[in-house]
Amino acid sequence: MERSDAELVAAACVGDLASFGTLYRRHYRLAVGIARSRLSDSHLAEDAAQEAFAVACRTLSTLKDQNRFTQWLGTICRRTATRLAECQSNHAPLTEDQEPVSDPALATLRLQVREALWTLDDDAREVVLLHYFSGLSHAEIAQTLDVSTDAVHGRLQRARRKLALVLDSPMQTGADE
Amino acid sequence: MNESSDHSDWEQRLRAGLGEPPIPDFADWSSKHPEALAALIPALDKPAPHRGTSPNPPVRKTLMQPWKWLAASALIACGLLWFWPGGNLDRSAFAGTIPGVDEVQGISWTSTYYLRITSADGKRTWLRQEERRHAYRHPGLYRDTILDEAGTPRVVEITDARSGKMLRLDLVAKTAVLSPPVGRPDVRGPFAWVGDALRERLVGKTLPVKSVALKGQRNVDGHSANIVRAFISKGDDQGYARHDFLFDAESKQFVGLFFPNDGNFDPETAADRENPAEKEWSTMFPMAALEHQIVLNPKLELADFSIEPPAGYSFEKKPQPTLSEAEIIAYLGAAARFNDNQFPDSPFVAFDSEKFNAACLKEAASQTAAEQELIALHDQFKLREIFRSPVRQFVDDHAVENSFHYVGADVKVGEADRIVAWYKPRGGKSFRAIFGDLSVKEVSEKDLPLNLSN
Repeated sequence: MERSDAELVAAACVGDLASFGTLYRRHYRLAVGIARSRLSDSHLAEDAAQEAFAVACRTLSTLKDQNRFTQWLGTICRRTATRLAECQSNHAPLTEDQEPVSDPALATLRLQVREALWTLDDDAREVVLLHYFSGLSHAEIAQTLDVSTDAVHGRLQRARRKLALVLDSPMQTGADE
Repeated sequence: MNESSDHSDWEQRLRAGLGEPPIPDFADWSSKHPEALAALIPALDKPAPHRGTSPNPPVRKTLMQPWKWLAASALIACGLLWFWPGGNLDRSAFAGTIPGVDEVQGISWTSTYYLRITSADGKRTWLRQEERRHAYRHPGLYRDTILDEAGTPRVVEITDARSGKMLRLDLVAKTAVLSPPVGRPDVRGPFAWVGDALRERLVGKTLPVKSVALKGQRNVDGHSANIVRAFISKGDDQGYARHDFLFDAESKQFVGLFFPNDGNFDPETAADRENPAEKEWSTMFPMAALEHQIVLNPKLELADFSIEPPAGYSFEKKPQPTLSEAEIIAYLGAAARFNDNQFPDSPFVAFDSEKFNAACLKEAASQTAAEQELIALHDQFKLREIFRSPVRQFVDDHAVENSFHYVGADVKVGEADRIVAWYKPRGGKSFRAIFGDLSVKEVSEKDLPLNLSN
């Protein structure tokens, strides 16, 4: 039987590194999804997620309600990503569209998707990434965001309508906007 | 998991544009964030109730064992490996209890040694594995069993760390030899020094621990273990040796120690691990040792730790091996001639071991006189079971504490007016000074270049 997050947190707090490893593997995609909703660079998003886990690991004993690990991790992740985004704007890092891509069509598509996502507000973009990129269910997203499943469904529906408008347009290149 | 039922074109384009989510790699993350994981290990950080200090000056045992084993095999003439000077270790008042490390009453374990053997023509290598079984009973009683290749016990060494005696039983020849122990067994237990390394960052009061890092996990005897990797000084500017301390992921019990002689050696991935053994060989080199199969509080009979020779065994008492002043002067001279007629920077690491190993591998006819002289002395000392630096052994045995001082760096062999070293012999009133021409003179304190006495 799969151990709950609370059980894993409790075990990790008394030194069970394997339990923290399970938490890491279980929620890594969630963390990267949240980070990516605030960072245009997917590599930087991974860095942010990893840094968020480091913060979580160092401060795990301060988590009062061990059932709320994902919400807590999500908060850390947003803060970390926002901090890195500020650094990114100051240092002009290498972004995906600057990287060499062997498939030009894919490069264009990535650009389109990125531009489309940035037409959404932060909350909607996060829900979209958690669903379409991290692969979380509505219920899992609801738990992470501490909202109802209906609220997640509603946010997704609104975001989809916007995205469909942008991404369904065959002439849309994104780069020309 | 994905509840989207609308597989419209734009969604497919969205997914394709986002790409696949990354695969979590906890081991990689662990290696990048050891300090974060360290925060999860309370046993190493949190203070525990104060415990009394050890009644006897404890010293380490385990790190000496590969050397003992090398000596027993008498196969290696080259290399200064795994030498660890003993020391006086105080019990720390700031310590959490690590099962298997602290306050051990009884423990048994196995040492597995990995050897790399080179063929007679020097072109092929293969690995050999040997084992020793150990048991410890508090306070300070050790029983080490050496197995032959078939796994049959051949030699048993019983050590009483408190009395400083070791009984060596050859089970085949039926001989019993009582002598001082090799190294300085730790009265506190075989792995007490592991606690010193992790808490005090110092082993034997002299060997600093350069770094400690968490390196993920590995399987030890069927259990998942956290790897705590420490680089510990070898002493005398010999660099740092990697030690992987292994703690059970669940119980936090100390379950193993892996220390490779070559920092990157792994017996599970070594290129020659499956090479066939050959009958003839030229060199044998210890690559790594693994202490494992650790059992806490096994049933241990006190009679098995007796240093009384058993009935039916011939008995011999051996004095502690030591070196004379003349032998040490000869050794320093040989080392200087080996070093292009210049005395070494340190008397305790008197020659470059790589150069020495290379000389050992030459045909005798190709060796220089200086090489032959040093190799002969080196072998002679090893056969007398002196496994430490010869100069260190001499100083510990014959010099008044802190009276030995070496100033020989850059002195040339033959420089009669330059002092290489001086010391005060135990029981002596004046100092003995060794000069560049390898002469030795009795001198008064005022004749020494500087006063370093306490």
